[in-house]
Amino acid sequence: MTTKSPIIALVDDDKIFQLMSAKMIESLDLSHRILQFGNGEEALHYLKDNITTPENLPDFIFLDINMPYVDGWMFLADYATMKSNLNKQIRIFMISSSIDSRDIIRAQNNSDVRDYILKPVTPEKFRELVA
Amino acid sequence: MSARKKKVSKKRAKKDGRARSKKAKAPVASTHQNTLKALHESQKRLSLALNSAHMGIWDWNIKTNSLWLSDTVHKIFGTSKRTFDGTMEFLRKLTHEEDQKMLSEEIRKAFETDKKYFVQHRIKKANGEIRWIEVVGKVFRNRKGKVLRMVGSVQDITEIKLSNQERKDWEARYKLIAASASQVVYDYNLKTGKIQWSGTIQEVLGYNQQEMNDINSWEKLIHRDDRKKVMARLEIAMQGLRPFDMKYRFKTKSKSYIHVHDKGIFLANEEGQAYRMLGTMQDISDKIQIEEDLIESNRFKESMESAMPGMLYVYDLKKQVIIYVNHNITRAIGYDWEEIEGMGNNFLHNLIHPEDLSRIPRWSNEPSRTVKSAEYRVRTKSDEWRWFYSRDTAFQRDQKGNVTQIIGIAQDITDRKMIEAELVESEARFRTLQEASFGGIGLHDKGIIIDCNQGLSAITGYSREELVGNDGLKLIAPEYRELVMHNILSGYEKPYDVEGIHKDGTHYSLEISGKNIPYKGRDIRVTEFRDITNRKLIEQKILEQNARLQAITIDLKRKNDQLEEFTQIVSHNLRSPIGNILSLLTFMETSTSEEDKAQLMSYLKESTSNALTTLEELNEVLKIKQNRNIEKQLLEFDKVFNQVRTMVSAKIAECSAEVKSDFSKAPTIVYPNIYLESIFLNLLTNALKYRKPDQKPLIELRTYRDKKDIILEVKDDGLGINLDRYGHQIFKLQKTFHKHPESRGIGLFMIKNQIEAMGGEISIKSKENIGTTFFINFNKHHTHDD
Repeated sequence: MTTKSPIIALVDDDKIFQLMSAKMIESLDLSHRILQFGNGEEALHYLKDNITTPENLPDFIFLDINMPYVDGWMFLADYATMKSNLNKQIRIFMISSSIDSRDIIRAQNNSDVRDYILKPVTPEKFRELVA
Repeated sequence: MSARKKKVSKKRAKKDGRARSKKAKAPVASTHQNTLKALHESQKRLSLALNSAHMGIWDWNIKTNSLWLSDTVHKIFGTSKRTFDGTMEFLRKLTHEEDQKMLSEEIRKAFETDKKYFVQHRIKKANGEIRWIEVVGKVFRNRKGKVLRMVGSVQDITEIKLSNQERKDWEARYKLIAASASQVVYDYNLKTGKIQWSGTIQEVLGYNQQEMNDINSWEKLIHRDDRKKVMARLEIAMQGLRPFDMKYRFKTKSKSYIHVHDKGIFLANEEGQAYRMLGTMQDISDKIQIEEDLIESNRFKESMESAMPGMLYVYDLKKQVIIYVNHNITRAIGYDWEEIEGMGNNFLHNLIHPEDLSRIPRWSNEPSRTVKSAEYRVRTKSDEWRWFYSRDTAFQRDQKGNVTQIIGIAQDITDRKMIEAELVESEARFRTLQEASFGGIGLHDKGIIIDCNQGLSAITGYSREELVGNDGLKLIAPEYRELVMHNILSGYEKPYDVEGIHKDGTHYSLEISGKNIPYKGRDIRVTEFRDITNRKLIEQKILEQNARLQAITIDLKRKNDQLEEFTQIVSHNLRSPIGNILSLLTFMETSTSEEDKAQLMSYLKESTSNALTTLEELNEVLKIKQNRNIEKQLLEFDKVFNQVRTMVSAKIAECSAEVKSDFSKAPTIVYPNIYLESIFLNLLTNALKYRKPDQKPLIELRTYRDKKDIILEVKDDGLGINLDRYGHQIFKLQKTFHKHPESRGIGLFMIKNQIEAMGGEISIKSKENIGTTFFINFNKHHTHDD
């Protein structure tokens, strides 16, 4: 257990999911700093802006697939090009409602994705992932 | 003949044995004149000795005319002492009539001359049997010379006499034959080596007695090739004392060889060894020649018969029997002559196939030289049917001139028959094949048609009569004739395509293939014509069908993609709000603050509403998918578009957009009205929505035709979109590419489904900050029309 609690980023266009997830993380005391992005584009911008300040970079990213504008896959594609410049090891989990096997396989084949988590995500699941 | 000679030689051997014993016990008469008693006694003794030698003693007292006979004499004469009257008269009566005179004469001679009495004569025994006896006697006289007694012996010499007689006969016979038939008689003495020849030797052999008086000179004259054999046979005959009979070539004085027939016998001496060879040599050259001719002619006949390919036979029509058949019958049907003969008049029924009996020619009074032939099956001994071909002609006729016997030759033609049958069959097969063939078949000799089938007539339009005998090249388009002729001459055997000409002059696609074959002794060509017009059409159809199948495959794949997408939509878009609802409910359960609860409740409402909206949207899409047979009508683009334009006129006015439309190039379409409205509405609002914020938008709509397809183009000068980045998402449900408040992403997905349900296609061209153009091809996929 690090003395400093991890920074968690939630990338999802579903506002209710954002709220519920943040509530759960806070109530479990998993993190004191939760970053929330409505789509991939916003998240990418944040990462780019904080390349020089790795202490602001998230330790975990919970990434939705289906988002308007820049979806999860597009985020991962861009992330792959910039990750070497990020001075931090970020663990990315895909969080989606899609039970489409093509999505699951695609996520498993992506080396930057730690795991594919099906919604809804329970508090216990968050604890397990962040622990 | 030789057997009889053997007998003779045996008898002779017997005789010789007797002769020896006779000599050893020669009769000795006591000559004591006055002592009769002593004489009687000595006679008794002698008689005992002579008994064993089967020799009898007799004593005849002339003065008293009383005769005494020993027991053996009685045995010889077949008399007994009891019936004997003691007179010479008794014996005289038993003497053979023919010999009585001779006997009286000999007795008289003996009395007169005092010569030793020696007589061989025949007697007739009491039982009637004729025997030869030999009587030896001596006359006893007183001082005055008067005959007092006569004493002697008697012996049965029948056996000896007969064999002597036979020998005499034999010799006489040979001499007789020798005299009449250029024969020489020889008598060869084995001890001296000398040969005595009969008088005809000079006439027959050309030599005189002196030139051939020894065995060596004779031997040298035997032909060298025959000599060894002759000497060997003589040696055998000599050892076995057997007669010999041989033929050999003999050199005459004139140096020419004659064929001689040499027959003879060896005579044995008392020791049983050959000492004489008696025989005859006859010139049989003429006979040999005849025999040779005969043998030659027989051989000729036999070889003729066996060389003949079939059975030669003579058949009696009345008796219904085979009266002659040559050896070939055995080879032909397995039976020999005896078996055929044994069948008698069952011959025909036994051997000829019942079905073929009627084929056997009938004869009456046909003129000579009439030949009747027939083919029929004959059952062989091994129970196999073989075909024969016979040719018969008259052999014998009765007084009325009716044929009674026929002579003929029957040949085995089974192989020919089988080949014929095969030929007939293969020809029939060929014709069947020809007629059964859908193509036209022509037999031709370098183009000139010899024969053809109905198919060729059908294809070319010419009748069979018009085709046969004519140049088949005329059936080919002129530009191909050189190729066809070249293929005929080179024997090309693969099918190739040319152009044919019908009788009416029209051309057609033709495939021809030929093959050179031997036919009735000629090498001709079979060519098959195949009208491939239909095939070409079918090929075309297949290609079209293929294209259609490919289209269907693409369409199916498209449908499949849509279905998968729909599944994903259902999975994602329904799971998301319901997942949220679940989370919210969990929180509500644990929440204590009223404020929090109220907040959660509002979220719950929103999520529920989202889920409902999504359900409605999906329902909408499902309707489209299910409603493929939605009613279509003839629509004017202009009319429909103006209605839609009115619907969104507020928005157009709001952003001062300029909307231009030109549907003149394709003014109408048969399409569901609501779909066309939906397409116009969504594309128009889409263009207005993504306008550049700082400029008045220009929206241009037009229709036109691309080949048969009707295309609608909707072009704006709005924000545009990076297709490389977002192209894959454009027509997906709930995808928005702009952070625009009204973006819900339902419109493009909806119209895409509508367009595709009607067999059309929607595509997009766009550049960021330049604008976007949508293309709708209403008729892209024809397969679902009608």
